[in-house]
Amino acid sequence: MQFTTKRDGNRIDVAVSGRLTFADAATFPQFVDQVTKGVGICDFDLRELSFIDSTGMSLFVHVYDAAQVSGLKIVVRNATGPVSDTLRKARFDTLFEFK
Amino acid sequence: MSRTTGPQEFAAFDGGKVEDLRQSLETPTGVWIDIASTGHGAFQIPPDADLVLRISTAAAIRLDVADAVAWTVMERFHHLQPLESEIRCALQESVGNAVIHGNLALDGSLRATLEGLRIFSATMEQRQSDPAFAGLPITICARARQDGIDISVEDMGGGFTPPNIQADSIPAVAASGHGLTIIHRCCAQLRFDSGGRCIIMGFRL
Repeated sequence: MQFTTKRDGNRIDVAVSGRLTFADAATFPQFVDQVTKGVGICDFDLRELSFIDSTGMSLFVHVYDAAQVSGLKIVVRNATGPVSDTLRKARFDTLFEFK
Repeated sequence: MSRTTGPQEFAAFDGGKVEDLRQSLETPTGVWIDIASTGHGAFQIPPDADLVLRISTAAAIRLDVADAVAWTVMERFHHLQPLESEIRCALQESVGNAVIHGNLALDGSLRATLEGLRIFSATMEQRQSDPAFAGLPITICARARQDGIDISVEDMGGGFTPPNIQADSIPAVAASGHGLTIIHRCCAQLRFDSGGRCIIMGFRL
């Protein structure tokens, strides 16, 4: 998995690409810190994310938990194909605003 | 069902150097052994398997094993094409479990909190760099049938007592425990062997 961030005031845009799987688990704390600290809105663009497994989904659970503590608003956009199916089957659309 | 090769023909590859596992599995053999994995002396090639991949934990983290094995199965057994996505998905989860909970012996319950996740991730990083963990093999065996395929994934970890998970027991979103439910949904049959170190998944047309 690769990701890029762009900060603009209170907002951070995060573009996630590649495959988000168990192989990335060692990087999750760094990811959570980077995208949730010091902002009020976090906007994930998953257009280039091609695959996500159950460990990858757990990353978004941690983002959700961090958002609950800090009041951060999360938006997930452009999830398509198997990534969209997987996230919706696991009910992530009840946690985040999907666009 | 076509059997293009016998399972006793084998090919070795270096999992530490391979960049594209699909390419490595293109060799017309039935057994692929990653020479970077350990414990070959005690390894016996399953006599009734059509495909066997024995790969180190480090390579299983770095390479897309599920994709490569699913692709190879489809190349060899064209009649199984309708099962491709289920096989790919279940393999991804079972290889992930074999790496994380099996060979790296990581405590998934740590991931319930962010502080626990930091410990989990630091331990994962340390163990995946430690040859004693990184070299442990994961063995994937496939046995094709007219009506489907049985695929096993075995690790060298401490095993576990499988929970009673049903395919329709969709858990509330959670940081762990989702993988077995996903596997259950993809398979027609699911059982464990070797004290939980080996998961055997049956896919049916």
